[in-house]
Amino acid sequence: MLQFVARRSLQGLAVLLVVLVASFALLKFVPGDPARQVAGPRATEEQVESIREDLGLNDNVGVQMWRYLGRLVQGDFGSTTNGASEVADLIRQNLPVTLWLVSTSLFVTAIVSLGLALLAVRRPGRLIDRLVVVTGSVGLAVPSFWLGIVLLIVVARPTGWFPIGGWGESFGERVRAIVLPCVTLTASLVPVTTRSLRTSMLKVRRSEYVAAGRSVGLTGISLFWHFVLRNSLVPTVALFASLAGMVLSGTVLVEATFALPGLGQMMVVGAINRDVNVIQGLTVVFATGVILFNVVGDIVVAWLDPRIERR
Amino acid sequence: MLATGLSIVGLVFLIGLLAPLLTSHDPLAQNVRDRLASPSGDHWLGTDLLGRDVFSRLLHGARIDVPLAVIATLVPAVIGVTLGIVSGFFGRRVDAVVMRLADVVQAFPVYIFLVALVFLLGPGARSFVVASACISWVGYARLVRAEVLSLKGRDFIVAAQAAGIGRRRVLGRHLLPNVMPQVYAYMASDAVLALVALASLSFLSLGVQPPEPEWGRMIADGVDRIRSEWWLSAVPGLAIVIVGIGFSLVAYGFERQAARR
Repeated sequence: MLQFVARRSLQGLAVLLVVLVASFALLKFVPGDPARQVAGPRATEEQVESIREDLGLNDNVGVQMWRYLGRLVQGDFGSTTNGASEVADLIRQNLPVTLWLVSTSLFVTAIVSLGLALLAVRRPGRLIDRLVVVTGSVGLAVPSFWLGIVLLIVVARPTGWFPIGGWGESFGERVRAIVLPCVTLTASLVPVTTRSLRTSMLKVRRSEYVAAGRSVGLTGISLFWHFVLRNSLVPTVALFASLAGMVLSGTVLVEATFALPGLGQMMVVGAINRDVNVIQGLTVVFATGVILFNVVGDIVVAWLDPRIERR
Repeated sequence: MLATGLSIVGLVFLIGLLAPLLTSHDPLAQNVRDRLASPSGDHWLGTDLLGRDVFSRLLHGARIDVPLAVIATLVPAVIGVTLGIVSGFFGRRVDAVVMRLADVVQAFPVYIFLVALVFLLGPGARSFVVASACISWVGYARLVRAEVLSLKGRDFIVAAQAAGIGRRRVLGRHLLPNVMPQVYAYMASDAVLALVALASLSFLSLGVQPPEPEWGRMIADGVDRIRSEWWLSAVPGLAIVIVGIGFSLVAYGFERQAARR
């Protein structure tokens, strides 16, 4: 087990290193001269040259990359283009909103999709099962930002229970502000998770040990609980570990729709303002999140099902 | 399923093509005096903030969203299938490089990568297609590689090779025909994602730029008016959902065909 943890962590680190190098390359490919951007349009050629020297842009690319990696390790992502604040500070400010959104949505998604998959699997091919399958494929075609807007139109507007967007000051306000974004993100995840859970539960249901359980007289709930649900745990955890990328993608759109001050919105604003450091820093943060999620997920799965280690 | 799906997508595309004949207003013509008009006999879906006819913009949007979704599916499909075949069939060193590259692409959440690439290339339809090509090839490459690897050991391929048939012929006549049905199914479901991605990027003002009547852009334009003129944002989204369901049905049809073989 320890060996597996070490190997999987090393693999994760390797991918992370490539990602960091890729994010450095991003900076190099951005059109325009960064020194001239800092200097402003009215700077003389000499001023631009001295800034270029200060920024270390005259150094060898390898040296620049080494310096960049060194800064990242210390959590220094540089400042925003307008120089008003540090990217790392902004990330720290925006992170809680995204974490709130991601954790609540994952929690609700887990409950809803497990429930739906269980309902569907109890009688495969019957009405509820078909309904689940059909809603799943329709769900993928619904853009999440549009669903968010529809929720604002049909729920927030007539009832007045939830704000039309934005975050709050007090805890109560924040809870109300997170409800519709959470529903939106959940709705974009549930079709995928339910479909996949349904497939793995069907597989479990047809397996020999369930037949064995049935043959010793177990029925209904207890058969389900001890045999089907227990054995569906591994694919469920594996599924949620692989979901990280999708969830973070979702936060970009959902936060933009509901004007939530999280990392996703920061990414969009950064892209519109053409702020290299913001995009670079967030790309690194998001990719690190995904890699971490995947590695931890793989380890938990291996711990739950020791057979996987040997694959 | 396949026929229904194809008819839905085809019909919407046809409506887009015939949009100039079906509408009596220019989708780009502004009329500030007539802005935010409610639906009427003249403006079936009312007018937007700049007084443009929403119905006309909706139909013209089909000329942008449907073909762009298809192109953004085809380009990565061709790249991915080619790399998948090379990886699976010829293997070894190419395989290692392609698969590590795939790992790196997949370490980024799709939309983060899309936004970063569009940031790099500048907003617009062309950037969207290039960015999609950079990201979506991975799925095809993995799918085709896995299929080729499993088919390679099957008797009919081994027999064909033993009979002295050249590699290229084995590939073209024996391998590919068995792989393509899965690829078609994957393409159709990928088209759903491409359609939604295009609308999403445009919604974030990083995709198709104004004043083009792109559906995601239209939804964004209406967002500030959802308290009163809610249909400005609601209706274009419905168009996306309809086309998306069309593509899903096509995918479902292809999947069933592939499973039957």
